[in-house]
Amino acid sequence: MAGFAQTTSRIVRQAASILEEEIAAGVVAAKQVEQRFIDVDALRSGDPGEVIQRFRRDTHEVVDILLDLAHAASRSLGDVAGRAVRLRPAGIGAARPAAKESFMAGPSTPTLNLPQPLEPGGSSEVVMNVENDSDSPTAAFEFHNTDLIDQSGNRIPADQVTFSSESLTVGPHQTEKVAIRVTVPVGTPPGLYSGLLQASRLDNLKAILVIEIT
Amino acid sequence: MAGSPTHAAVEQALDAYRAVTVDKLLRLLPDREPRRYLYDLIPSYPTRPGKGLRPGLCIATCRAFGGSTRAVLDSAVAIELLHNAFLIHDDLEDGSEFRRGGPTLHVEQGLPIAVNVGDAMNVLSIRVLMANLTMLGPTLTWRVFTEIEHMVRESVEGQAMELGWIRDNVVDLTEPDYLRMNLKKTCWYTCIHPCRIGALIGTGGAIDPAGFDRFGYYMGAAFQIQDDILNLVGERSKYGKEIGGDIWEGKRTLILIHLLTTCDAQELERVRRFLAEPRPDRTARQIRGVYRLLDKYGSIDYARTAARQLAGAALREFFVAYREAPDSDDKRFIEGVVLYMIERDL
Repeated sequence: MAGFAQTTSRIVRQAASILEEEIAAGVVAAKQVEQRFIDVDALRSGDPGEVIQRFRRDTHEVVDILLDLAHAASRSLGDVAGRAVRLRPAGIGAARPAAKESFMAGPSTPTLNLPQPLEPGGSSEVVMNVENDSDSPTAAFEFHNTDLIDQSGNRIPADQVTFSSESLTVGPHQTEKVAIRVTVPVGTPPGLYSGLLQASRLDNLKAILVIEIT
Repeated sequence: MAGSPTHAAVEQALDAYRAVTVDKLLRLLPDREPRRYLYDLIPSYPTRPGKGLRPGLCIATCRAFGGSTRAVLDSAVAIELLHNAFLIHDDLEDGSEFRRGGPTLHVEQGLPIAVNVGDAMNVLSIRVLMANLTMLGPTLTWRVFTEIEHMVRESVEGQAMELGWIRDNVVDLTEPDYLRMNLKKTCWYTCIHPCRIGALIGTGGAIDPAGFDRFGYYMGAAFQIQDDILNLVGERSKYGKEIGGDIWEGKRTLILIHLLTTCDAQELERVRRFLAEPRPDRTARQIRGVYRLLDKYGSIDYARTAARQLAGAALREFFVAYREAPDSDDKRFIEGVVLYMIERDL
């Protein structure tokens, strides 16, 4: 069969030519459609409301129903996260996370990106600020986290993520720093992994941890 | 890398991919009225004996590139729903009476009910694709949507070409006309897009899906030509459709186009007159006459050679398109299915 696979023929050459023509025609048509309906770059980098609006414009009315639910759910998450105690990536003033990530978890759930991609077997950490804008101290709390997963379902177990403080209390109008360290197991497939960090006793205190494995 | 799997191994893998897809499809069906006239009829075609090539290619490609069955299953189910909706309407358009070993849905349930079941399967596929949002995220979900939109659009355009040729009795067709129609009607949705979607999901959107176009096209074209051959010379018990049905329907297959472009003027006129008659007016004697001409000009053997050449080209492209995927059962299945598709007898 190896020799057979190396042969060429008129019908294969014709097929190759037709495929190229059709793809070229399709690319032109797709560009026209994109220009009319879709701004792909904006779609990929826009804020969550805009992404939802674009889905809404470009798809069938049936899709609208689900998107309304999704939008309502993400808005609800944002309301919860807007309480007095919140998380921010250290060194970043704006509370708004990158829109692309925020769509996944609600508009006000911050995203903590590890600064550099990691290789399997490597380790890195990111620091987050825990801010208390209220007039009273928080109760003592600790952090829990889920497994980190990528889009193919590959996992980094939850116990590979550790926190610099096992228990924390934040005074009124104070900010505490917490370092989050991720150790990547050998053999972890490349991908963009993410998981949820959640504080005990404080429903609204949560963040998405994102790490790229190369 | 280990050798290509046997045909038995390919069939076993196809059965497994198909089983997981059909199982998910059945679980997604709404548990509500109207059951008798709609939802109870949707499983009819998906649960009949079939190859399951489309979900097989989609799932295997995803897994070959590191993805999971879970991540790609909704997309595979959507493709299978669209495929079966297409079959229901195709059987109506062709006036076919048998499909996968049983009466076609419109023969069994009547035309209006069958049309509506096909429509429902199209709509349900949208719902399944929407479910990707939570698993794949908005960007990849949208990319799969655009793949599906292109897949379906090409299919209906290809179907329109073939139906138009039959209605207007177009006989001055050439091999490139056939290859273009075949690409649009069959290859995008049978092979190219299942592989593209599987690879996109398997890599989290990191791969260029265009790398699967040639592989999918050559393989799909070989698959369709083999299907056309089996339609004329296969065993109905295995093939599941009436043998010779394409001639009764006047389908512009590569076999018929080869005959039309090689026979003499007198024979061409005879075939043209036969094709001009409505299907119910065609006779078994005329069909036997066409078979004799196909034999005289070696049209079936010509198609068989073309299918093998296209399969060879597909195999060559397989080693390019899947070169980054590590050795795995799924990757070996895809390599094995290329040859299986042109050597099968069902």
